Amino acid sequence: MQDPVLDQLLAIFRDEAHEGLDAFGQHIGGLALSSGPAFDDLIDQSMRIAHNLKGASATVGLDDMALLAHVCEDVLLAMRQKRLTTSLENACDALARSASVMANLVDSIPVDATATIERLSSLVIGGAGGGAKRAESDSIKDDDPDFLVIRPDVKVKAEPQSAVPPDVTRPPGVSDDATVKAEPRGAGPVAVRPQGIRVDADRLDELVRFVGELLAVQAELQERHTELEQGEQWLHSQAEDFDPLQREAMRQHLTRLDGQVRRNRDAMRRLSRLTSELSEAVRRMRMIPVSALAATFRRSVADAAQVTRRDAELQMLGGDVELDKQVLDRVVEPVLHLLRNAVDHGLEDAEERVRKGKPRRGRVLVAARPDGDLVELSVHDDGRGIDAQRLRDAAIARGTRTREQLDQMSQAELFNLMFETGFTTAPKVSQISGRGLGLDVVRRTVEDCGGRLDLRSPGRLGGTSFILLLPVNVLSVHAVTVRAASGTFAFPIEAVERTLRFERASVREAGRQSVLDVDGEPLRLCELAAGLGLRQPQSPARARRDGVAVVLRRGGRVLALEVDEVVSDQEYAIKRLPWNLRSVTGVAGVVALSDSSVAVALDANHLLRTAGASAQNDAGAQPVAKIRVLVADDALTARTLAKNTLVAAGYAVTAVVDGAKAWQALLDEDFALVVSDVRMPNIDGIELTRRVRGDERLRRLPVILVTTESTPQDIQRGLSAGADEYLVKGPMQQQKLLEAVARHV
Amino acid sequence: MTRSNSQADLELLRKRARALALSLEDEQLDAVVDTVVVLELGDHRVGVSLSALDEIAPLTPLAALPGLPTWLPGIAQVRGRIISVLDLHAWLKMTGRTSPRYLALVRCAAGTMGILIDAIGEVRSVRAKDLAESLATDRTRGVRATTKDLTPLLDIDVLLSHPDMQVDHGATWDSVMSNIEVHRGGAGDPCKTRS
Repeated sequence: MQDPVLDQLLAIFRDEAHEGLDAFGQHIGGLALSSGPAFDDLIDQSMRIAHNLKGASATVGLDDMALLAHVCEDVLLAMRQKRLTTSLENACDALARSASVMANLVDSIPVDATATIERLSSLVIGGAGGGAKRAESDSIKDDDPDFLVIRPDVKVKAEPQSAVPPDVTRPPGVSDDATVKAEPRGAGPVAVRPQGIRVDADRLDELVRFVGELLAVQAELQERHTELEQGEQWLHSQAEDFDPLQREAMRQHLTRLDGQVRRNRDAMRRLSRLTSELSEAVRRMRMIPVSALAATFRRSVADAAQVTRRDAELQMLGGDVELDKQVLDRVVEPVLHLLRNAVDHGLEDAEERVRKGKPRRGRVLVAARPDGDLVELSVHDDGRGIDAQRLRDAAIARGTRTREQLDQMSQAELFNLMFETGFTTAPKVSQISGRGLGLDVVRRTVEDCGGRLDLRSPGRLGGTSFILLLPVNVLSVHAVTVRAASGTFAFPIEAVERTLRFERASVREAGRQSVLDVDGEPLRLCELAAGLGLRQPQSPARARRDGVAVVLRRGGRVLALEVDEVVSDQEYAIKRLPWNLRSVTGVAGVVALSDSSVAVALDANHLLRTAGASAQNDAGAQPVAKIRVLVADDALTARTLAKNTLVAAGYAVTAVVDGAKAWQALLDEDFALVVSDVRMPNIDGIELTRRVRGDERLRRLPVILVTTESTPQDIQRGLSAGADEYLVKGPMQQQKLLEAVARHV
Repeated sequence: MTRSNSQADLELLRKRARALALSLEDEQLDAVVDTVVVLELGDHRVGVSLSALDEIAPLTPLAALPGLPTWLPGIAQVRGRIISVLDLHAWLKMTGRTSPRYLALVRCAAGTMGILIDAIGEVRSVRAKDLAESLATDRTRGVRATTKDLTPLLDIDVLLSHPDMQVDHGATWDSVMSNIEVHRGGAGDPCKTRS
């Protein structure tokens, strides 16, 4: 996978090239005016810059620039050796102009360098760039002194001013000799090209984003369809109440509607299956085998071996194991760092190894294997392992630990010292390591994508082993975490409208709901644990005068959730639930928190659906969530009238035709109030009232009798049976009914 | 040969046969059936095959999930891995109280679970003769045998693959994740901004 490394190289190259070219320009400017040692010095510096630029531009594929830089070098050499065909001023002029051509080339501005190259060439007796080869692939020979070809099967040549890959520890902008030399583009053993096409990584990410949005819309469609089905069923139930003539007329319409709903349902099913498959296919597209990084890893080991003058080779195991591209991208740098460390710190010099009875060539192994829903990626070396005594000494020298503390530590804790910022046991700072900035950054980078880094010594090959546990997929979600009833929970930021403090005294009860008015909007308030159905002990926060709530709003629904405290608001790596918990209603995933606890990522939509309420309810006198009322009357008209009146007023109404059905309904379901006729077959209203009053669960249920029986005795009978109100049917009876109901819910 | 002699010979032969038969049985009874780690749950002990035991980790805070049975108290984190936790005490309907301090991570082909334990006991070799053949064991619930000193021995494969250990409320990962608009890279990526 060259992209991330190449991109990084290009960026670093551009910075360094510009800096170099600036300096080059200055040196050249001073040349014409100087002489003696100062002159020589300027020439040396300019040559060094040209030399570096040559190598660097070859690496990133700017062949023209490499050649131009080479020719500049020759001209400078000729200047020193007095082999110019023209005056010093002319030569400096030409060099200065080449510098601007090079600057353009660096910025990918298309210029033709040929003329400049020819001009420069003509300045040197015998021509310049004679020995130069264009930095194109096949003409590079193994023994070319200027180019270092690093291939797995080729011995690497030693060269003093040589290449070190950009180090994660190196502060940006440091200009030392380091340039990156590696396989010039196109060189190398002929690889068998796998079937495939290159896709810009950003385009793939875009595709993934679209799929995500598609899934969201599909989920919403599904909800609308469910509402459609519910509406259809409601219509059917309404049709029951119509008289036969109306019912017949309705029947045709209903049948047509049935057909439409059914076809919609089928289409929804097909859509759901397709989006599922699409999502899976896109996810697979992002999976890349670890072997794609093999070349990069090899290069790193070879370079490090170069610099340290050691003999080392890289082996890879399990290259077929695949990881999400995002994870792989993030993990490349840390692994490269570990590889360089392995060569620099882990492996011994060839002589020492031979003395120890080890093979001369050191082994570095990168192994990948699946581990449940994780991938274990490890870096091993067969070197000297970790010297615990040196660790201890280094810690004491740095002053971070006392001897007593160190004596108490277990081996694992001792090894962990290596991950502290600035910790190093290296005797001196080398080009590769020793600055001590590496391992802590490595560990943090790995943990940031939801992974883990561990260390073992002696390791798999006898030296040191670094073990990375990585998630196969990483999803990072911007979430708000809250603590509620001894657990931590996370909500995606998109669902959270706001968090707020409220005074418990300002919460009002409407029916069985708690309502909190926020900016004039009545919101249903519910405890998070209760809303999830978790059995949790009462939190001490409940006793306080004020509380904390999170307002969720999504897709027309809104809910205020009371929590103990709001913890944080940041990006989290969200993981799937363990293998045996394939799906748990209301739970979207899990976040491993840094304090060894776990936050449960919640499905906000589910909470809103089950515990929330539609935000489109009228505010003011309306209850926020529908209160359930049972209406019992054997007369169709009376029943329909009562039902319609109550429904229009915002209640959820169930209508039944007699006392027996009413009693059954009361036993089966929960109602806030009963409105009943007195004269009904089976069980009449009086009997119904008596039963209600006699039942443990129902005895406090409000009962309103609405009837034509209006003698004082009737009224008395009703009230003695336990009715809360006795309404006589007459003028304004709808209004009176509403008022009575409002009095008792 | 007199009749009584042959009778005595027969008797002798029979005795020898019996003696030899007994010692063979002894061998079988003496064979080690398994090496088992004993886990302590309150006043109770259970045995788990050493080969099925991955590690013992200190208990980290549990996160309860809604709608799970009592023997699945939730999930915990062990060094970055999310582990499903099993309350064996509840599963086997044991009496008494426990004070769990560790998670015994046991593994089967499908995955790993963490069993809540108070402490770890000894590692012992269980021989055939140690098993109480007559005691009824609920094989289907994951107890493959019980020793004569009343320590149930677990069959981790059977235990972990029991249908009551699996929870599936029906939503797919995709449909749930679609409800969370995820950031996939881009400006919000913490790694990109940091490096």
